[in-house]
Amino acid sequence: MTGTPDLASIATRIAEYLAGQWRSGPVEVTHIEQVFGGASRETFRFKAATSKGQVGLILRRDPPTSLIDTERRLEYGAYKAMFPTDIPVPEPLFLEEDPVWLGQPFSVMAEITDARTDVASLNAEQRARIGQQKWRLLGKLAVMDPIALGFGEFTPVPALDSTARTELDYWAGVIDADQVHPQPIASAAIRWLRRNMPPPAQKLSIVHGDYRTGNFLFDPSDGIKGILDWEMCHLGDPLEDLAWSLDPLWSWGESHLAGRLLPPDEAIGIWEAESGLKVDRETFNWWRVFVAIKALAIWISSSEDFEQGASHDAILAYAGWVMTDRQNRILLDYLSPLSKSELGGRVG
Amino acid sequence: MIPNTATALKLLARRIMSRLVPDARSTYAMSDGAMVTMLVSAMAEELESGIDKRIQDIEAMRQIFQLARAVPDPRLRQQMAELLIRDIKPLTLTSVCRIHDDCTKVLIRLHEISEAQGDSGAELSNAIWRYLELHAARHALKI
Repeated sequence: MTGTPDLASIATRIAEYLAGQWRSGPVEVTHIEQVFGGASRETFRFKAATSKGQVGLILRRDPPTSLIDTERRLEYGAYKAMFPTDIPVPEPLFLEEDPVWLGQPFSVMAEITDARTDVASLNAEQRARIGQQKWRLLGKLAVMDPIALGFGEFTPVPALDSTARTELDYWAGVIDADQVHPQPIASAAIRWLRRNMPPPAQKLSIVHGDYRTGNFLFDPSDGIKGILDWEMCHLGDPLEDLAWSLDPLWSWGESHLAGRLLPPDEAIGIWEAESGLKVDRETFNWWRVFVAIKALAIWISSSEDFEQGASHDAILAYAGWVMTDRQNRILLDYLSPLSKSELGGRVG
Repeated sequence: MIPNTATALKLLARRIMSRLVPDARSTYAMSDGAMVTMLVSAMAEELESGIDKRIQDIEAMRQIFQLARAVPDPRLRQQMAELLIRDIKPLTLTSVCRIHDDCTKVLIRLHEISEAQGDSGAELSNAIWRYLELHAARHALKI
């Protein structure tokens, strides 16, 4: 995505679009602003007013590439499937794939107001409460029936004994394709993962794919109001989401708290209690190394996007340089026989 | 000629942060500007010491190649022999990166072989892990 978006033009076009969808008279769009963060799509917040009142909406517009068609429908499908359940998500309203409106496909969702994603200013009691809810919700998600919720209509349904290999093959392939420089730590980690494949998943679950602090909206008093960013959602082993949520990257500098909220063992206990599933430590170690490789693949891909010109967003460079550095150090902690960290020797 | 390029970049980053970002018209632009400032500072650091760090890496990988002279892969032995004598010139970041990448590709292959050798490959494997730890520490970003 290059160039500054023309907010006035977007406001005019989206107002026309909504008027056509709602068929309740003219629509006025005001207070439109671009939301910073996330490089896969442009995100805008705005108010839409009709004769019936005013609502806050979120618009997400695709970048100029055809490569993420599947992701777009998958993400929207996930929101549609999850909205009626106990898992709080923003209400999905429209998915528009005709580029005539805004130059690229886009989706519109209801805005969740009076909520934020940043936990930095929470006190200890608030962190504990939000953290407990975070992992309870993840445990609940782990045991939902994805087929009954319609996931089989828009995402592949893997066999229980192929979930790990499917994911590993995919993300190892991303590293192969996108690495700007050779990656010795990633290569060692992938070899370790292939030598130590885990047993089949206990259950085929809905895997959010990016379940972490920063991807849910909350109010310190009311708790979690919406889980965001379902674009990497897929069906697989629920341990993948649990491992991702506990990756040290999300609590960099505060390693005693997973996601800056709860001690990791407490988070795991809450997840087990809510889901009824058990976390076998050896199997879980595999998923911890895997999610570090998955994350590394995403950061390496960001670097490649930035360098090859698909987008010059600073956040891509930040992810590609800073996150790659940190994720490599996490993998060293897990796998190096010389690691002196508290994680060293627990894996590998 | 810019007399002190890395210092100049750091000063410009500071100017972006203190003068331009506060005047940005939107919170998006302010956040974007702050991130650009961080990255420019990181680039100043890279300009200052990127070549030296990579030369240290190359020298360390060459020592590992000496250790691995008897590896049972003639093509790999040939590649290592060439990398041991290749001149690290010109001393530009691009040129040094190229040699660094070539050495790293060989290192990856050596690591794979050492793992397959089990106990007999332990010395080489540990040497490579030691290198990877030092490499990560040497290149750790301070932002």
